[in-house]
Amino acid sequence: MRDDELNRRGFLERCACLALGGGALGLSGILDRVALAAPPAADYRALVCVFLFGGNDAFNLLAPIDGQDRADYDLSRPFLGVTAGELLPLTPTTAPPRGRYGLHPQLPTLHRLFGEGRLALVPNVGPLVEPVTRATWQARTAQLPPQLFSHNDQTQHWQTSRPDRPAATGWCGRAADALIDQGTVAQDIALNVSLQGTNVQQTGVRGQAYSVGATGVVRLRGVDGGGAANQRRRTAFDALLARRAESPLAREAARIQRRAIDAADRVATALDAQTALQTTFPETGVARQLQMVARLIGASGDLGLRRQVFFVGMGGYDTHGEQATRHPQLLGQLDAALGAFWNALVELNVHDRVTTFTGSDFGRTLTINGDGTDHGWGGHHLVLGGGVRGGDLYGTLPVLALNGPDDTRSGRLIPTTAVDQYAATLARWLGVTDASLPQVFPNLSRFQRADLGFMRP
Amino acid sequence: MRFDPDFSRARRRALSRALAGLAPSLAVGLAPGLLAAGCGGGGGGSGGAVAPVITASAAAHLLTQATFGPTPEELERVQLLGEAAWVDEQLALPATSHLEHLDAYGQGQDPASGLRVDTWWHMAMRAPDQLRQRVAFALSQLFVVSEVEITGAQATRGLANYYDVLARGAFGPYRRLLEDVTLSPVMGVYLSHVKNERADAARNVRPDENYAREVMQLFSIGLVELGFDGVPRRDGAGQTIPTYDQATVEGFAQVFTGWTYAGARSWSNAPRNLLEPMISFQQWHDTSEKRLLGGRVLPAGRTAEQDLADALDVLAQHPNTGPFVCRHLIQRLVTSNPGPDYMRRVVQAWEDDGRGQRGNLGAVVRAILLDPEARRAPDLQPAEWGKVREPLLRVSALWRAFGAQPVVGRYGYQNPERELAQAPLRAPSVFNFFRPNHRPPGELSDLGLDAPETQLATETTTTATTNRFYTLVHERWDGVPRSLGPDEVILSLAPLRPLAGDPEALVDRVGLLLLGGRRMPPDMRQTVLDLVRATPLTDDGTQRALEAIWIVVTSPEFAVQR
Repeated sequence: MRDDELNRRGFLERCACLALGGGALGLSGILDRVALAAPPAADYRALVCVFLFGGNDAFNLLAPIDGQDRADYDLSRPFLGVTAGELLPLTPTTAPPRGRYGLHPQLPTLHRLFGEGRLALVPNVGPLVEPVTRATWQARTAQLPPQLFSHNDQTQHWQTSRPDRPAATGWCGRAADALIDQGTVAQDIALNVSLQGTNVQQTGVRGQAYSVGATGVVRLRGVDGGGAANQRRRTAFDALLARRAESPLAREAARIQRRAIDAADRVATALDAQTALQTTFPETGVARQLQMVARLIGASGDLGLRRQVFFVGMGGYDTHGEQATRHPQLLGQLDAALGAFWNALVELNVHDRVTTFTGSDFGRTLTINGDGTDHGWGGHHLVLGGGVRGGDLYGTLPVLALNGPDDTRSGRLIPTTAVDQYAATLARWLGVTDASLPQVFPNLSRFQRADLGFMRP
Repeated sequence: MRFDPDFSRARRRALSRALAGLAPSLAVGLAPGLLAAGCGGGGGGSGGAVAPVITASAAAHLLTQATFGPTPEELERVQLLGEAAWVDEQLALPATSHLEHLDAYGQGQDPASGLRVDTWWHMAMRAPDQLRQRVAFALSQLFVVSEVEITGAQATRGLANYYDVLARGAFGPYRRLLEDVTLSPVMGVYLSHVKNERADAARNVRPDENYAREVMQLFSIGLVELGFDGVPRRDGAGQTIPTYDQATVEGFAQVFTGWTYAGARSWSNAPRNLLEPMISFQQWHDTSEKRLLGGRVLPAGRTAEQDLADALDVLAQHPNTGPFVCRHLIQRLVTSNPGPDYMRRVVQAWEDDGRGQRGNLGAVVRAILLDPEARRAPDLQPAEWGKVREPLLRVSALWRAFGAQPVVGRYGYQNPERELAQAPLRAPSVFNFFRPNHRPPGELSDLGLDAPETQLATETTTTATTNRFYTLVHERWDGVPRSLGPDEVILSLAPLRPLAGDPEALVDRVGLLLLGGRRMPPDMRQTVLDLVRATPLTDDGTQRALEAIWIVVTSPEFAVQR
């Protein structure tokens, strides 16, 4: 092993300690802060990714009401589409070029927030290595993300924004690295927090996300508190975590357990110090996760955090079958969960400092397989927050005609906006400087605009 | 004692003769007196006709790879038979049925889904066909279906039956199992090829691509071309080579049309049947020409059965399928990072089972377990050898090691995913609980080591799992001073209590039963001994036994099998 690698590893290990260990704040420092119950910092900012696993059928989330786009939509998707009369009509600042658009009827809250200028829509986003046209697609001259239309590969591409190569880090992880390298933040708790287990999106060179369950932080049982037996167990338990195992797999197991224990007490203490949220959340998985995110944001002041990225997941979007019943239910749950989350952010008075956005494996085919849709490529996405220039669409609405200029075939649409552009706009708002952008999004310069303009400065 | 195939084979023959006249229970009954040596003993060959042919730790090593965990009884059986004879004995055992056991709970037509998980625990704990059940569990993570998206009428019985399909086919030809899986109505619902219709240009409808894509990506050939050693092949530019493209997916999607539930009177009158294989309706099958892999074209105008048979042949014969499936099974049973030599030897067994048959899963399993690399003693393995234990298998290993018994016959642990992030047939998606090439950032990525199971290991699940072990050990043992709930599983400490006055013997016994044949590292052993000795011996030995078990099952060493 080379010296610089050794140094890097040593550095990483120190960072891992810092990221979640006691770090700069001793126990007394935490207690002082709890007593103050500090609100989130005035310059606090957070991104919340809601990943729609399975590939959301975005062409039913946002669909044309009239004009040429509606005519194309009706031809491409003769049934299973949303009828023009059902759609909740939008009046964006910039009128779409080929007819009016509306949101799915199960999205009344998001429709209202769009009208209030809190929600922006970004059409036809997907992973790209470089801009692709139907001509370069058909001529096979375009450089394409490998394994197009595969769930885990396109999810990987979305989350890494590096479809051109197998990447071990994701854009949120690299954004966190950049914020630390730039000196924007000097946090001693992981900037990335996942409510949905491990994910590459939040993995950076400096480490991966801190994982929290929807019900909160899990503390170790049976080894703390009074009692000599507990003390003895804790001593032995700690000793076995501290010893250097011969197997690197066992060392990894020890590291995770150590991180978990060190972080749990601090985060749980901060959570316990918060007053309960008045906002009620629906009893769905995604809503419970967002509720915990709201509580963690509430505790960010006590934990001394100025930047955070949260990852929330919602499954079930792979609607190959029974789409007519399943997809509206999913959208209804999403609408209710995002609505409750918005209300909680308003209650905490952080709604201008938190931006929520969607990601998904891919959009789906415009065409139908009988009772569902199959894997596509580009899809529409939502950005919600007080820092969002809402009430408008950013990017290019695709032509919905089969064999049209945006179609590869069967209504698998070529993205007109790269994930890199969508994500870079969010990362810049979070505080990644233009100088750091190439480190976070190495392919960004291949696309026309680095910032789609949907975030206020 | 090192594994010596020739020696072992000779001993096995002698043993088989010796054991031939003994009923299994009698053979096991004889054993304790002969095998009291435990860890490190045995194998001397100076005993009588029925003497151990391998050490207890070698037996524990095999049982950790091939079962849901060593039990004292099974350890003795392996010691008596030797590894190869034990594996062969297991290969010959018929499948124990999950569905029959589930139905025996007597919960009527639609048993609660938790009883299926309860049944799974029962099989992990008690089924005699341990190897078959363990391989079925591995196959359930290859041919993934998930209760997460299969609910409603018959779902629980259908899923139990699906598991039986995997168990029955676990040692048979891959090609047959692939067909059974393809025509399983549970898979038909999960990947939506039940009632999949031929293309209808007038309505702009094309066949559902779900099963077509995943059967290639996840159940047979994978995304990129592989060498015999399972390593992706590369073209002149150093790029991996895709095995198929979207057009191939569309070709296979045409194949999987025209199938619906058994008992259907017509295409539109097909009530749900999640138990019997799907049947075809030719008029809904796409009869146009189909372009499959490697230039293979199925001509137009054939039946659903003909197209299916040929398409599955194409997948089963593909050069990728051997390395792809073999690597999956090796990763689930033995090690996360099989070297090229080990892979090649196992793939050789896939290519030809010795009788000219290809894809014989029993021969593959035998090759995986009896390979010299797999049988090399854990303490002699390279540091990176082995795997993180799957969370469910940690719990089963604890229970089996200490003769755990349910209070009234049910195991009660029906939603283990809440702590362990894993439960049988409840993966979050067809991509299973974890990906075969997952690498956590940090040391393992730097070393280039795959560690699939670590994808489940977050701060939350790790501590929740540790806490669950606190409950399963410290709060569930024979004689615990409180009234027991009906669904609790109780550890039997009886064999350990007499050892409490001899901490070294106690710790070594616990280590033998839990550490998969590894010698407990000296510094760890010292820590465990210190804890045991510091625990006052003021009771019948219970407390010391509990402390020893708890500290080992929560240790990083137990989290890994070597």
